[in-house]
Amino acid sequence: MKVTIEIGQQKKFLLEGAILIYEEQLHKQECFATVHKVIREGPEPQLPVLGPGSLLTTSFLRELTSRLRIPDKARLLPENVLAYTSELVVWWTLPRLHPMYFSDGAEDRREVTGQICPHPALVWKVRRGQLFLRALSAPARPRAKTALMVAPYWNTAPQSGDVCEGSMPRPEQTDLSSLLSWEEGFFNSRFTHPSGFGKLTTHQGGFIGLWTELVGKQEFPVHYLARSTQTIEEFIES
Amino acid sequence: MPGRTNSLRGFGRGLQEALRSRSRKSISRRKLDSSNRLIAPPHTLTLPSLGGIQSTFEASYGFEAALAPARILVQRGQLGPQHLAQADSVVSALEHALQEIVDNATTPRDHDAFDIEVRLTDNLGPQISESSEYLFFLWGSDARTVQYIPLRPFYDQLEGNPNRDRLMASLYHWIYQTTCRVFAGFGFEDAKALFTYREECYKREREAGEDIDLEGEVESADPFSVITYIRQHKSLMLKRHEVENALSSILPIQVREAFVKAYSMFTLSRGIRIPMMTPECRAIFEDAAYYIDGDPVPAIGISHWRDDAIVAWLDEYCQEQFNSGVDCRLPVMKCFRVDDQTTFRRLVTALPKMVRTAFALSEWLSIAQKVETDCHYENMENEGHD
Repeated sequence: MKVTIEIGQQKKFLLEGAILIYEEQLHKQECFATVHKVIREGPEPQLPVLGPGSLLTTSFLRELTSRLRIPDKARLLPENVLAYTSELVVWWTLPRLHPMYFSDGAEDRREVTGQICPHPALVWKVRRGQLFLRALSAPARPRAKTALMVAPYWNTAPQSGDVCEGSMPRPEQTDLSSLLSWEEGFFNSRFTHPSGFGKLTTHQGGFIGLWTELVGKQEFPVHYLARSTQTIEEFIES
Repeated sequence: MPGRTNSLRGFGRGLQEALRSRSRKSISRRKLDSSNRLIAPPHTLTLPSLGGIQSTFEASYGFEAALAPARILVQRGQLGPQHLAQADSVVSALEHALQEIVDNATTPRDHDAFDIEVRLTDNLGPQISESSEYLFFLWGSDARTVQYIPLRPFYDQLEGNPNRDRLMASLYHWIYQTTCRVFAGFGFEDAKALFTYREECYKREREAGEDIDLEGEVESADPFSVITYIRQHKSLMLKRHEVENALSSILPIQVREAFVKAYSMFTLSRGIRIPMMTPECRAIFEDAAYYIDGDPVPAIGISHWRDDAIVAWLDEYCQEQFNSGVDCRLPVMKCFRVDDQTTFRRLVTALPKMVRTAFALSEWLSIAQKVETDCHYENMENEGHD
């Protein structure tokens, strides 16, 4: 009578292949890689030996990445998440009050730095670790065709919403548990300079005029938001 | 610093030739060299070995669920250094310890006619469960082998015994009840249940206007036609205090020993206490076993003789089970929480008795076969045909 216990799992991994990388030694700018099967021949113990190599191809890389990839698990999405894949997460936030921080510079920004200001509803996108930001003209969950506004911040490109993160603290991974860390990292860092071309705000006094006016206010006036050329759908897909 | 010369003077001619010959060969740098040129050390043409590189990795995970049962066996003195010495994991140590419990309950002469496997697992289905909160204790066989015990040879050898019917009713009861403790059995009650169910189905269909024929071979096998000592075994069977005297009234030694063994295994099986599942574990079990929708295959069918209604219904039932292609449940399948020490303790306590009972049934099958052979029914039937 046989007793069998099947608790947990045991997996054995055997060396099956190797990738060798060759680098040009003078300028160290060129390299190529070869892929080798591992061969075990002869009497026991069979030592693994490299087999003949072939140039590494993109199809091989595709197969390798698919085999290394950890399968996605189904997850419950928080209400404010708009889109989520293994490489992308897009979410929106309600208007909030938060201090503005600027790097040292001209007198005008010194009056604003550290002061609590109202901020508009925002749409955040992190794609492969890169942060993008847009503003919303209404504090409600946007739909696919909702027109997005330019996020009225320095270090944020008006055309693309691309945030120049500099030394901003940022989570190492892009997943649903890191949304708050992205927001805190953004607001608790110092804005240093305008980024890219385009209007950040419709305020007559420009960017500094806008934030100087907002110090101590409770609500962000949405008519100071400049229109972007993107809808939510386009923002997610771009 | 001495200048370097290109002259090959002073070297042997063979070497000069060799070097000249090598210098004439040009290698196109536009093409990738063959791999051995690229990676082999310059003094050899053999490919480098990967000696020193870790070429195998083994990973175990999810074994935490085995810790609590192992701890209980350690506390009971049933898992010790000897099991750890021959194990490479806690799962393996637990397996050795449980195997020892099973082996200690038997003797080398014992024979298992049922091909039983005892399994402790954290999942029932083909999909690997990620949760290790529950364990499943399984007992039985996937072999789908049905054994049959005819009681007629014993009945015939008791001719003239004043307790004949009562002894036979008791024998039927002992074997059937013992079987049902550790396996699924098939007897008069099961045949009656199937017959009643089929009869009701036919009646409903007839009332619905269907033209149903009740005169088929099996359909007409009325369990109420089976021999009296089986049909009325509950009222006929011996009381506990009557057993000893009744057994000693059996004259043929072989038959008496068979009765004694049957009573002994019945008494043993009464001590088996397989714990019930909690409602929570019942729900988990049903969820995990949703794809195993067939009932357990009977391990033993028992009746007076092969031509009676019980055997007809046993055949019918087994044919249905085998032809339907469904997965059948094992006779004992229990789910319990990993941290439920009480249930695991009870299972471990019950296990040796279950093992001994199964082996006793195996032995009884052999005895029944021998007694039947000794009765030479084959010759008698042949004579009848002549």
